[in-house]
Amino acid sequence: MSCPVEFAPIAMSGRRVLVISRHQTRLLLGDPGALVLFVIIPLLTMVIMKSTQKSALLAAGYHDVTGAEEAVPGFTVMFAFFWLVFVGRTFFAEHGWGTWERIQAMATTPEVMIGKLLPGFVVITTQMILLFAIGDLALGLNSKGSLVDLIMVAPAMAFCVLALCFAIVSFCSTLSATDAVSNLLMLVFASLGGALALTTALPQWAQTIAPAIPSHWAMQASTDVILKGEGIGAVIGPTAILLAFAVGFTVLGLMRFRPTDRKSIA
Amino acid sequence: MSTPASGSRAMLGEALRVIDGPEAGSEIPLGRNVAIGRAVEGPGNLPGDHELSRSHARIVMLAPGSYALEDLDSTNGTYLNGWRIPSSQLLSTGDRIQLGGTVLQVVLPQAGQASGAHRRRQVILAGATDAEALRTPKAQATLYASGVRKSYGSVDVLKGVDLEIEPGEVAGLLGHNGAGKTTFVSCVAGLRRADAGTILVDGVDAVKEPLKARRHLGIAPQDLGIYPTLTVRRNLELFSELAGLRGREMASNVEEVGEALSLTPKFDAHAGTLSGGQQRRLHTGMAMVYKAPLLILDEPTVGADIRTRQEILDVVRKLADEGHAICYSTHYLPEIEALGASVALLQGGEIIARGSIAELVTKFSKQAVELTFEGTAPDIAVRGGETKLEGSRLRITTDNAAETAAAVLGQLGAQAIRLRNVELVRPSLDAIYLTLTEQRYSEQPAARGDSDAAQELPAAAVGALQNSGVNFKRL
Repeated sequence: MSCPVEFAPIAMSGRRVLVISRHQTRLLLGDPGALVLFVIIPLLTMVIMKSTQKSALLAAGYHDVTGAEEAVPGFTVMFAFFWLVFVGRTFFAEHGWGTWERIQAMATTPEVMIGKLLPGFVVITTQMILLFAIGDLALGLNSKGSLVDLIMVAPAMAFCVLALCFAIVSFCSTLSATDAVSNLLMLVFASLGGALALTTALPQWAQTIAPAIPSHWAMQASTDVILKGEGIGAVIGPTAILLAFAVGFTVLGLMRFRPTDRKSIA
Repeated sequence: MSTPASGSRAMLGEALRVIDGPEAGSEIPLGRNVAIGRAVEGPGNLPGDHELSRSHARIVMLAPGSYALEDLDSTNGTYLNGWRIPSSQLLSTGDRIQLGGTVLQVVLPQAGQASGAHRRRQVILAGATDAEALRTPKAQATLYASGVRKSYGSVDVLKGVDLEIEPGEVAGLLGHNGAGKTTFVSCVAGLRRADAGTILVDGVDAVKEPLKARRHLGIAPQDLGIYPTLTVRRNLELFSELAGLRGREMASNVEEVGEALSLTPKFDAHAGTLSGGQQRRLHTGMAMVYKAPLLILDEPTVGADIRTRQEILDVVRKLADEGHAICYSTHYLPEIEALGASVALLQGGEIIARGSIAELVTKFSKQAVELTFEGTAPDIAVRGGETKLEGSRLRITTDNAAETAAAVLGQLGAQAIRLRNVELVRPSLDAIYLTLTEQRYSEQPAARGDSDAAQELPAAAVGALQNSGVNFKRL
């Protein structure tokens, strides 16, 4: 017998959210591959792609650049979206372990969802700040503006990624479908959003649709601060748009999300 | 305060004793309808208690000696034995009612110590017609479900399930797959919303306050649900923490459950490395660890080895002895007997039988004699027995298998030489289950219980059978 949850009261307990968050953190940290994937690989990629990006920046008319000015924000944004796959899998793991219904019986659905997503929010935000910090200190990132002005982009991006993850998990009933959609979106967002190459270097059609992609706005804020030396005023707009994307993805997810839905790990 | 209510047929001495509040020391005599408030007419008028609503609650006589308490949408609520009552509630002698700043004690000298269920039967016998009152939960029941209905589209899965489980009681919930067990349990656990009916878990309305009700129950679904990448201890601690335990209490409970289920040596092992039986024990332990008043175990021993099964049964029995109410769903009927559980048989969305095993055996089952012959069985009529002929087998359902066997053996005459087997079948829980669910008895040979009935056969008949080489079974 299973015990599917048909409805969930709105009432929330901060304590239960924290318990579930701690629990989720343990599950995340239980896979050391995550650290390798989300810190070491982006750094290696930045190092490898730095010279290529330098050429692209010089060709685009920017001077006094090392390549890290595009490589660091680009791969930071790209690897933030890698969490789509990783966080999505933790939901399917709960179904595979038979614990999804059990934990639903102990807490409300909002408590479970927030509790499970909160560690991801912290980790993505930390990851972005960490990669920017290492890029600045070790990769010779030559920012014309203050990197501190970019700090608000990190939590907005984290919110956006997790909201999109929630939407994907809501719509996909199998793990393979979730993986496929997540990987596809991650690559599309990276390439069309300007994370792999400057938006101005993209074909015209790609430049036209780029504003419809969240990573474009994260890159826009980075470009304005790092390459153009603008201040926090240039960050507020893109951050607000990222938050709007996050709200949109959340609403989309809520329209389809049913805690009783069966998820297959196939 | 001292004038009995008009039209009252209350028995002598039936009253509410005011044990705390501005009117402490006085008594409110009970009658047909006694309103209580700070501005009501009659003996329940307590103007000195300003925490009372003007018309706060009332006591309604259902039948002589039986009263129900109802809250009248009071501001501060009406509490019975510490619970805020959701609707009307049957009263027992000694119950404590708290309204505003006043505490009343129910005094019903004639009611004795009868249980709520017994007293409700008394109400029925007394001819009470207040159906709502008859549905009121007894104060002691940890699970009170009444008239629970649930449909999925046009399919009525639950058609009005009534079930009460008292503290210390193990109630075996039996029924075929699809009988409605899962849906019922889900409604009780607040995971599905019942379309109609009342469900109280430890006094909490699981329909109106499912989240709150969940705090009062532990549930172990049939499907295994553990975190394989976490340690055994962490799995147990997680559910303790979610239930609100912490510190020493949590550690103590985790140790206790681990000890009882022989999991302590594996506390630091990842759950995924445990054997199947250990995982099953952990799964069950996660529902037990926070010691909820109501424990719902759905086929907790499915796929378990003998040791695991016995350990789970032992822990269940222990928890029941400690006062927990347990709803134990299973297909293994011997477990019900081993647990000394009462039985609730769910069929087609309704409880079709409820009671102790002994009560059900007496009520629903008959003994039987089965004779198997070489070739076609002879058609023998036995007085007081219902005969059924099926090829080589003659089955006679009767009230006394031993007497019937003796009688039929005496009638065999020359046919006795073809007799190959005699079975005396004592009614068992399995037989009742199959009878009530309209399955053929013969489909479940394991259903036959043991009995000393064969020893009651006339010695001459036994001797004749044994000498003739007939396979004689004492079942």
